[in-house]
Amino acid sequence: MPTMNTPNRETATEHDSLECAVTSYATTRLSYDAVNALRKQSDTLPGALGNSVLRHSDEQTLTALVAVKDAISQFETPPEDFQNWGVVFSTRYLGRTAFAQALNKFAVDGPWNVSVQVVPNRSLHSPASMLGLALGCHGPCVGVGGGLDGEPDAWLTAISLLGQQSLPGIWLVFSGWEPDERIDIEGTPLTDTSCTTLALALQPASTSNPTARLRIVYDQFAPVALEVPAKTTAMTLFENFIASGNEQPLTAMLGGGLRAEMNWSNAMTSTIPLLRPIPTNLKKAA
Amino acid sequence: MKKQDTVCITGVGLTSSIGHGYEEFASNLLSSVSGIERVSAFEVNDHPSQIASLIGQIPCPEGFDENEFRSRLRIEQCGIWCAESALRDAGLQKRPEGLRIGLVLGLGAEWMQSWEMDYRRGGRRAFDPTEEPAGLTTKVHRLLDLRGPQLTVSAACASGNWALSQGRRWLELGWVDICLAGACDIGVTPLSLAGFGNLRALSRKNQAPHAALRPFDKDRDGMVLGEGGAIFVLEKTSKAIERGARRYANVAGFGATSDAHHMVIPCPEPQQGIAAMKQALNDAHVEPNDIDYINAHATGTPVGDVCEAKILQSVLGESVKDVPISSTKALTGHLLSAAAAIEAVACLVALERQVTPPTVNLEDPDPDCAMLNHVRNEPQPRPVDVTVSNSFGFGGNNTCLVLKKAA
Repeated sequence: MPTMNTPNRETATEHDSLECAVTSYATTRLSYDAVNALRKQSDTLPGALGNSVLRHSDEQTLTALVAVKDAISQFETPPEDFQNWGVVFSTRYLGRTAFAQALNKFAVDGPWNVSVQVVPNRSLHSPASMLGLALGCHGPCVGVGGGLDGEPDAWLTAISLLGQQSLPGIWLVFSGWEPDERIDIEGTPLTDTSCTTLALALQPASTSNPTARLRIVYDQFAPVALEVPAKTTAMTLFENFIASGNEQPLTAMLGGGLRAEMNWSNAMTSTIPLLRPIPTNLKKAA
Repeated sequence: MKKQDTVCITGVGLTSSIGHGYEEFASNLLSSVSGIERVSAFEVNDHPSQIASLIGQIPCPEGFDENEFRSRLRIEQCGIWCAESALRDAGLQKRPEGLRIGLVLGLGAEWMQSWEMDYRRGGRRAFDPTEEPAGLTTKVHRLLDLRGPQLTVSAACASGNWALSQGRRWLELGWVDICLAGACDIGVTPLSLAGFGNLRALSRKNQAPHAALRPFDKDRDGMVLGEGGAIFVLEKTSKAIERGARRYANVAGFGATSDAHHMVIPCPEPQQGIAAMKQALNDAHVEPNDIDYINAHATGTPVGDVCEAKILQSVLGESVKDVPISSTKALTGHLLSAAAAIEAVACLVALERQVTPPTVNLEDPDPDCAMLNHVRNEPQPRPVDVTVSNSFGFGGNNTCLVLKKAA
């Protein structure tokens, strides 16, 4: 029987951090009605995908398209295109509204009326693929996470991928409903809730004029287990980071002794204003 | 990590319609045992496709409470069984405190499957999912008391290749000492069988389940859904040698691209599929004429198989007439998110047994796929040192994984 001795940490210290540049960002927060209205506004969103395509997209995908459009307009040095970029997209409970409808419809009408659009548009990979389609990204486009414990997955994947495949950039996107509330059998939220997205443009650490720097650090004292459910979303962490100016870094615990840290670049004297203002209560909290 | 310190596979845990462990899977794969049958777990008379590749009862891992295990959703049982049996296979069921074992799982539709399974047994998670906040990856991580980072990743039907690639990457970065990586999918549910069926993606040869899935054949009419999963133990070769572990293969190369063309249909001019294969071969320092076996994605759909044949012809060039190619989906069904993982096991079998598994039901190759060197209907003994596995998925996901025989 093969045996395993307690490992030393030589390799962990050799590679104790991985860094990249944040070159643009945006956040979006939309009501249920506002996000569904986007299905008829394809010409206002990146890629002009067509209303017939957006009709089937998940609300989290639609909100992300708005956020990415805003982020594109905020680059200090905009990339010529996003052809070789990748997408890492974290969602929370994607497809819940459509799936609730599908469950109900199946119970009433049987298999022949099940929509062919649910699997292609509401699976974990779907928002990343749709964003890649809108921006013409031929780099890897993957979905990560999926539940209330999945946002750390996005930080880990985006930064490690950027270094692995010599990509010029990665769109790191976090979407979800805040708060995640109950829905009825038609998929309609039973209380007020917003669909939110944080979109970050990540580029290699060597990129000039970064807005902020993001690092993943191995720390033997950082928690091993994830907080489930996470008490703070990436969106909230980031909005607090923006509101605090240069005073506080963003810190996200990723499990396994890893943590993400974001600091404004030394070169920055002021942050890019968010196109959509931070709610007053968040500013006060920060 | 030293450059020559490669990442190898030292344990395999799996469940599929043709076996719940490596040896059983290998034996049935090479005996062309089909796992495809008429679905009996739920009513299918009104479904366009009524067949699937089903795993039946998932074994309860040794040391687990059988009742507690059976009370879990099947997707959870699948993940727990595969991960635990992989660690056991690698001799890691008892391990030193502080060992950082990471976990990367390819899961494409975990929540939808969970909601549907829960709904069918009277639950309400679909309408109030905060009832159950932890996902499968977190549950497996906790149950097995793993100490490294964790990740759920999806590139649709290419998720398994992604998981292996990320596991390798984490070892290279020094984030883990060992990594469990693989994929699970329990996608044969009433809603998914109906959704894929209405999409006309599934074979309707309901009267002949074993002959229904016909990759590269002129008479193919779609795929057959399957369920199951495979999880691998990855570790650095130097450490594996040091502890005397069995090494199945090295994870040598990976490539991934996106079509940015359509959410379902692969790009008819498959430049990005070609690019993914070339990336993987380049990463593994492999030339086309070095390849001893290719496990094709080939799901048996009219469009997809021709598209992949174009990719293979372009990448292999002159070698296209020499490199043996097969699709093992004809036996296992299409495991969706877990397809690449179970097909990586087929590649391990090829490397270990020195034989190429066949494409069964390939009676009359489609003329548009006839340029390939098909392994038709019977396994072919031959030296196998380098295998390549293509996996493509909805959303235009293209991946390719190279496994090499452990020296």
